[in-house]
Amino acid sequence: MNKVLVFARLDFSTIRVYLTVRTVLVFAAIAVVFGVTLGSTASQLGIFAAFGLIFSAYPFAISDKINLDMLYVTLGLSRRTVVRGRYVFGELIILAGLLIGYLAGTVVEVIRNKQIDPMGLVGLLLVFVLSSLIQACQFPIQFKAGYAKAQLWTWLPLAVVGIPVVALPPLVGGERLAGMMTDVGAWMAGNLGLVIAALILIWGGVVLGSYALSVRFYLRRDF
Amino acid sequence: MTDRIEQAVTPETTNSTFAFELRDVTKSYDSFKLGPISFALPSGYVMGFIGPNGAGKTTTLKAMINVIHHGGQVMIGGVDNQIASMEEIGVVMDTPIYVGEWTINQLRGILKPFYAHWDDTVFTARLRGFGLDLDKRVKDLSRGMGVKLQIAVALSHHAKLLILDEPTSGLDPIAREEVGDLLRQFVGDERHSVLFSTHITSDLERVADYITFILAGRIAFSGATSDLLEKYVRVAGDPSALTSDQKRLIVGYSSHPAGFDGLVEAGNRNLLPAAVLAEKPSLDDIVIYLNKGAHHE
Repeated sequence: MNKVLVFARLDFSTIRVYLTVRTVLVFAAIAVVFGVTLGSTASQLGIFAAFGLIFSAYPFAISDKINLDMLYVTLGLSRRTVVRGRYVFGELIILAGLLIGYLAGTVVEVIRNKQIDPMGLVGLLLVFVLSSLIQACQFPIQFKAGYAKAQLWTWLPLAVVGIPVVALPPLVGGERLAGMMTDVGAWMAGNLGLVIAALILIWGGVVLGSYALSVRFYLRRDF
Repeated sequence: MTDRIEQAVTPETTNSTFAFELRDVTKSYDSFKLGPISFALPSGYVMGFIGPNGAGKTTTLKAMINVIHHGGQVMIGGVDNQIASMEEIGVVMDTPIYVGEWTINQLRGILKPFYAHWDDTVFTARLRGFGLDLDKRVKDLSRGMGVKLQIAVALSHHAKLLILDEPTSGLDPIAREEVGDLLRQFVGDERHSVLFSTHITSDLERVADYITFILAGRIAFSGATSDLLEKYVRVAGDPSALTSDQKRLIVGYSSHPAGFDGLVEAGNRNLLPAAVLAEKPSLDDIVIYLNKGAHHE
């Protein structure tokens, strides 16, 4: 098997002991409660995206504790392979989280006797891109400084996303903002192909840039 | 084994019969500078790497396996360590660098895909020999068991060079002897070699064919263990019998109410009064006196 994929599997083995069925069920329960209460599938996706983001950082945290980076060297893995494998692992864990979230959302829709909205898949893509972009901001810092030292900085991207959500309604006005969002949503729905192409381009560019930075930082590290 | 020792261990030319060679290796930290250091080990032997805590043992071992960036060159089996195959090297730390929650059986499945020559039969046989249970979690292993597990892993991917960092620290004498026996068995195959860092020098007198002694980031000695033990004589006696020039010959000189003691190069023994007692030093003596001497300089 390709070494990058073998490494991604090693990352999964590293976090598997913390990724118990109980943990997944707790997240699923929270997601279902949020979904039913708020009547929104996006909240479920958001919770599972956060779940993916948290777990994608675990290998860094465990590595800080027992110097797994040294293990990778003794296994004959090049530093580029480690970075590539970690990105593959990171994207997969977010995707897996979102798929579980999407399934949980579908269950909620069925419980609420609502028709399943095919646009939910576009929402899934949007949340995936957003989560992946946050992760792309976090990984280079974690590769440079390790988990503990990077912790404050890695949550900054999340704050950058969160601040407009909190600050815009009072600034712009709730109704006006809702109107704007509806307009943006309608425009996006009308230009779906363009939106998806733009998203993929932005996502690809940022992830590639992030990968290049991570390689640069990780190559310089001593363990 | 000692009668097989035939080569000087200061490398001057590339020699693929060396298990490893370090050439002018350096590493600088804010508070510590290693090197430049050079030493080598011919294949088929055990080298003890000794020195007080903080002398640079772990930094040297890390440089050898490329865990840290360093100056100079490290050759493993005649190949630069930047491109040498890690399959040939087994690394054993004082505590395993595996996730504590993994069971030994899970560990086997996790490590296997990384080694082209992984041998499950050897792994299982070694575990049985060491009394290690496949269902045991890494975090539940004692220090000695942890060291044995890492040795079992190294043997299972057919490593030719074992690099061990303080494998016996914190072990009881029986477990330390077991580790020593394992290393002797390992070098029974002449293609196998061991570099074994420790500050417990008594472990080495029985096991090590060669000794490299590092002090404050510099190599104080690298050569056959017997040469090191014969190089110095431990001396003791009445300080009033010594002139100041004679005192200067004594490394790690210390005086106390009962007299003085220290270490002198064997060739200089005759320059001291006959009344001074002289005896063969232990490795411990050599480390202690040379360390003391370095601090007095």
